[in-house]
Amino acid sequence: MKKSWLAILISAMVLVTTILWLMNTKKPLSIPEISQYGVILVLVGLGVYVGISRLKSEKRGEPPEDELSKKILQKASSTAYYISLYMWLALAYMIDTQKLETHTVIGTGILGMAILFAVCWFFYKVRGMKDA
Amino acid sequence: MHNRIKELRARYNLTQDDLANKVKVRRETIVFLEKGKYNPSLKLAHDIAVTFDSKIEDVFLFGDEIPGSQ
Repeated sequence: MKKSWLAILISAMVLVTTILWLMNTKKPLSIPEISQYGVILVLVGLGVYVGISRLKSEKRGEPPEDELSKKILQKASSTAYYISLYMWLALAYMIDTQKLETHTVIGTGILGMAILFAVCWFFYKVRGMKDA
Repeated sequence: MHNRIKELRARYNLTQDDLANKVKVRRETIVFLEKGKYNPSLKLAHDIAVTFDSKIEDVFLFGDEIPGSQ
């Protein structure tokens, strides 16, 4: 029960922080910034979805996580980490070629890792874990 | 790997929820098992076999044991 609420609580905290950040931004938003907010909203939505589906499982008397969900989480984490190494390499290359600022690169990298994890998790959730 | 979970579940008149509760996993795991999208751990395979009063090799079929393989 605690873990389910934790997912919702963290998502809510991220959402509140993003709203505060948005309210304190004085200059108009650029397209990359708008896309960053969009990505954060998608990730918050995913967090809430995971939390609510866990709560529903608990109400049905099912365990919130079992061996399949743990394996999906582990496989998604390792795959996302592996792919993110190439993403960071591409970002390091872009620092030189595109003259990107450090905070932009770090922000993009962190959001990119979060997106990669979400995509990998969804992929294994649909495809299953036949080879595990 | 092929399995006879769906067939045995029907024989024992169990729903996916019932089986999931008996072996303490989520219903989603039973769905994935029946579709052949997940190969269970030895413990889960054992628990499922015990639920159906069978041996693991009677529930889970490997390689040339699968009907229609060869």
